[in-house]
Amino acid sequence: MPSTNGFPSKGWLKCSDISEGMFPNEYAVESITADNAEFSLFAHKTLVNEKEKLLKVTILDCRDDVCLVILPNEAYGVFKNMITVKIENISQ
Amino acid sequence: MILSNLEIIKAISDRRIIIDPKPDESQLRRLLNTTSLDFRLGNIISIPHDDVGVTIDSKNGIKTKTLKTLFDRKQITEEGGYTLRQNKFVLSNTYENISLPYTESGPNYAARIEGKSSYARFGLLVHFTAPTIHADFSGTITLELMNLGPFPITLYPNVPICQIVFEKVEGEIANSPSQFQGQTTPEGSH
Repeated sequence: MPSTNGFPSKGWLKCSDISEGMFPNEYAVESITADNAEFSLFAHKTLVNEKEKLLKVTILDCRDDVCLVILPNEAYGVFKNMITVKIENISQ
Repeated sequence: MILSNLEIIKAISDRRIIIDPKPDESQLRRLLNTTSLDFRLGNIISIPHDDVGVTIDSKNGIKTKTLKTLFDRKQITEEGGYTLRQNKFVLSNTYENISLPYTESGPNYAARIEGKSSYARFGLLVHFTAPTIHADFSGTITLELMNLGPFPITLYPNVPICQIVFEKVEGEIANSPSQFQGQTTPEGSH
């Protein structure tokens, strides 16, 4: 669980699914927001841990049980790259 | 404010702008313009299937899994290239990977992809609706290639295809989760 200071920092967001992307250097990644909205995005392979189903994100801050993160790309379903996610889905 | 070529070199040197593979000095000289850096075409073209009977629903979006099934991937070579016919649309990506790391202390940079005037005269678009490369982005740039001109255009990998204009981000980026709560649906992101 991330600390409450030292932001922004890099962290890992738990994903529900990871599969091949449209290009060989990317994955298609699915996860959920803090409001339980599903989203998906294409992310460069260096930003994805396929085995552990994790996506590298930049954590801007965490308050209570929610973190504000920057996704590596605009996500389908939420149509933006800054979203809130549940802190339980974040690891550092 | 748009970065000059000397400021681009400095930001690359300071790793505030990360280009991978990092161009050496002679490559940089070839790729730099006065206020932009050329990026080259990668070697994959993604070609949409015609007439698959799918409607893109802008309210509900589309899952990446579905999207990728609507395109065929084709590898192109420096010998054969890929000929983009008139009024055809394909996706590709840049040879270069770009990272614009966000830090609290800054300076932070965002960028925009632009076409090149030489291709523009023949009607080639390299993007038409999504030019912004946000601060903290990392990856290759997806190119929205469209031939609006009267002639077929043959594209080759590793040829400069677009230019990237860099801008310094002024001010802080909102960083409180409460500012973004309830804004993660399409309706909330207006």
